[in-house]
Amino acid sequence: MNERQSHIRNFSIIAHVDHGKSTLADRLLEITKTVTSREMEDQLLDNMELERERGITIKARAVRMLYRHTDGEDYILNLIDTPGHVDFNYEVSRSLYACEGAVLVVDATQGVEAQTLANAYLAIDAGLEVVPVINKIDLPSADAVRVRGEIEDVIGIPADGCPEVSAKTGLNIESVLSAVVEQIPPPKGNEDDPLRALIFDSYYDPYLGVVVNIRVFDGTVRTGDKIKMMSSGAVFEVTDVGALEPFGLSSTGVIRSGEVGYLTASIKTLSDTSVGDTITLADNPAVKALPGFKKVSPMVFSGIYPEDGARYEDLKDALTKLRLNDAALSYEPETSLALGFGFRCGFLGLLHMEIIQERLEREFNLDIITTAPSVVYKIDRKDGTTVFIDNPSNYPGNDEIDKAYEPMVKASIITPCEYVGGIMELCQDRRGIFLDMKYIDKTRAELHYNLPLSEIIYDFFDSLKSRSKGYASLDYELCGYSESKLVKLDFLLNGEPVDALSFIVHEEKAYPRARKIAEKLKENIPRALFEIPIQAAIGGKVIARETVKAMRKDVLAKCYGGDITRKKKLLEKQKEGKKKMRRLGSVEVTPEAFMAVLKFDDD
Amino acid sequence: MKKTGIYIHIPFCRSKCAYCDFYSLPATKYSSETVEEYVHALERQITCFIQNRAEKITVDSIYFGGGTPSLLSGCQFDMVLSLLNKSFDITRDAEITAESNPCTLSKQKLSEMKAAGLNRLSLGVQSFSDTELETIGRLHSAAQATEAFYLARECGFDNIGLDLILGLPGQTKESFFDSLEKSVSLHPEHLSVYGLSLEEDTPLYRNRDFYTFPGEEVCAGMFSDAVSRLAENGYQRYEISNFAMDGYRCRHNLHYWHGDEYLGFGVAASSYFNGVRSTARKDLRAFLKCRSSGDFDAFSVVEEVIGPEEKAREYIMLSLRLTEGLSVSKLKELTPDSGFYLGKCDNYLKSGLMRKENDRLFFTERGFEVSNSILSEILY
Repeated sequence: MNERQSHIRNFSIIAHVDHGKSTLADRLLEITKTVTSREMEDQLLDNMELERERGITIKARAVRMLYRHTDGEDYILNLIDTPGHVDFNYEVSRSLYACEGAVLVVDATQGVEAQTLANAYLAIDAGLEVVPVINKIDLPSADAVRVRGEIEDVIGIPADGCPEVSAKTGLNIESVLSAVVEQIPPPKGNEDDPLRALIFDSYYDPYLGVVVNIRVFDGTVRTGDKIKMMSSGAVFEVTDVGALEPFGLSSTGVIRSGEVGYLTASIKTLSDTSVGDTITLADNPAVKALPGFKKVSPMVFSGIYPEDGARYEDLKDALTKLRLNDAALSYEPETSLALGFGFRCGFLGLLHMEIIQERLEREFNLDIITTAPSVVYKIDRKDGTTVFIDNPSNYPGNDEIDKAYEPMVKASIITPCEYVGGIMELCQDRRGIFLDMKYIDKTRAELHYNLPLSEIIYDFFDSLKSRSKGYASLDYELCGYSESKLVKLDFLLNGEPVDALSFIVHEEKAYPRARKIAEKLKENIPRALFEIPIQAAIGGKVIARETVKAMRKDVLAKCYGGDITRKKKLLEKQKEGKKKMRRLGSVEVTPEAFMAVLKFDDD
Repeated sequence: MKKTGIYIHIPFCRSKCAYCDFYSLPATKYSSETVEEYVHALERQITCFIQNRAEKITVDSIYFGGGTPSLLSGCQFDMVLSLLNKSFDITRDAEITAESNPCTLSKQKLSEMKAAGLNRLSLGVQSFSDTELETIGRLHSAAQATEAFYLARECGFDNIGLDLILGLPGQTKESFFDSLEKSVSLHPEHLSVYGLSLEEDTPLYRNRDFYTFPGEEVCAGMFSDAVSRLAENGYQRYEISNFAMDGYRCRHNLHYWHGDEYLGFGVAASSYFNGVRSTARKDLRAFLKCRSSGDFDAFSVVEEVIGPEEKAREYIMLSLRLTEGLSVSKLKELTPDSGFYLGKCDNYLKSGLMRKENDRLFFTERGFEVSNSILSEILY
């Protein structure tokens, strides 16, 4: 290893949601003068409007900092920020593969939570050095001693003498940087070997084309080099390389082994640069690619349709652009009798789905209708074939099905002991299978359950929070398929089935859910001049029914003093109000009616 | 021969009712001098209007609306009506109406009004329940309304209309039918039953959560019962909210519904003249200033120029308010696109909300109740 590399540290910050990861990142940027305090704003790396509003990190980001250590030497610290929510675990893994170490932030008032554990294990599995940091020690309820104990006992990494900081007030921040330099190993690799650079992120810039963020493991890449993508074989000429600065890119002309930076090469389509691929030089290629990442597969699917059918192309364009930055999003065209042309989209989870919806609406100004989310079911047909179903419309008839399976997750829940009862009840209610429970300390327990994915994608997280006054935390991972008794629930409005409202549900849950949705539809379908029956049916058999009564009377307003123009305006306004509605056969439905099916609150 | 109606707005009230969003000022905001000034301004407006007009316009209805027109003195009515008589060709049988609030009517006032030439009264009774009257801020009691009615009869008014409101806060089926019975027992020539509409910017709207309103079903039931009760007593429904004895339909309002021209004088008054609909601004002070400038045209805002297509659309909207409905052949004369509108009516014919007899297309009773929704579908 050369002198240059020994002065580089590549690290991520990982944490449970709200334990102060982004705030700590802000402080590190400040103390290393990577940004001046004038430029500083909260959650600096979370530059998506949505991230700031929700106080979460969605996209991983990288930035280079310069730090003079107590040994008098200058170090380059590459910080790769990561998201905290379980939906975005894959982003965490991607970032981790570009690093040698991870700073694990733990809230001194909360202790180890489900994602603290999950993220710590991801880092350990990736072979990273984990540096624990206890945050929020300025708070009166902080208990650093207890939390240190938890880190050692539950996660199993030494925490004695670990930095205890307050990212909010800036207390002891310097000690984090010292620990990074001292505990995290410098990058290995040889700058004279054939180039091997890992693409850990990419995005589309309208001026530069695709910008890829890379970690160079071996070799050197320079502006003007001919590079080759090892999986696709595509060859490009590098137009620029450089370092990642908080407010953009800083061209350096070269990136050497051990360094993190960006690369542009007039790449027009993102399919040429899949994240996880290895870049090498076209005329001096490496023999073997870097390990790369496990491909993320979407777990939750739903139909997305433009409210105004004429904007289908705009929606397609928007999804294409979002996909550039979000490898986990999948989409393919589908049509619905009720909603027209749209897309079947795959997401990592419900939060991911909500975020995509919000970004479509905000960043692309689209009004969209989303259908009920569905997981991917596995069906063994009687003819011996097996199909995977992510769209209720394609669900085979009951007489064709031999066996049906639904995806299961292994869930880990950490909660203060007093809420264990309520949480077990919740898991029971969601068809969970209890695996085990262990005590983290006197006051907190960790529960493990096998749960159907379909049960947790709706409102499980919210219910968990409300049953634990917000204290319980959740992490889960897919663990295969289980045989299940499934039925397809259809809804009919005025006798006509509405495909976009159908969904697949466990037999036992069909009746209560059918009733609830029928009620919600009733609330969301405006009364018409005729009566509208709402029926929920399984295979033609009606199991729940509601009726939207016909409108009896609209106000017989006086046509006063010849002000006919005003009267006309009122009629026109009345009609305008109906324009937003979707016509399903003879029934007009507000877009909200579709959303109503999405939400199953427990109330 | 073309006959026109004249509307005169009197924007003064003793106090403002809780449901009212028409332009009128409560007594605290004006003095009797203001009223006098206003009448003079009206005179000036009428004079300016007829200037340079070669031929006199024939008028067969004059309607004083408000506000509370009965706040004018007999003398003030006389001034306005005399000027109108000089300025227009008023037919011998012209209908001359004043809206009036029972609490403003004394025997003397009524005889003066009669002497000034008024021959029809529209009495704003609204309800015969004192509790309901108080809730909506009416200043009169049920007894005062009855007394005013008899006084008017004594003074020779043989064409009186009563207004009732359906859907008032606290109103029940019983209280409504009590009001209806009491109205019928007075034998007025004309009855209007208006559904209460909650208008923004009214106290009733702002405080709506504190009141209990009869539900839609109840109102629909009350209305259809009212229609049959009134029919039993000789009152024929001729418009959505209006009922009359034979020969006593309100000619002035029929002008609106027939799409005829009308002239409005005073603040906030609408006119439809030479194909242009305009409405005067709702600004008393500005109106009074016009008295010296004479520039009343600038005081009005042109709202629409009614072209042939719009004329046809208005014909649909207005004629369908009447029980006689629209004439298909007339609609065909008015627009080449009549098929478009008539096609939309097919569904309503099938579902029994409309009916067609020979040349005429009209709402059924059930159709009338949801006529706003149907009209907005047909027209927009």
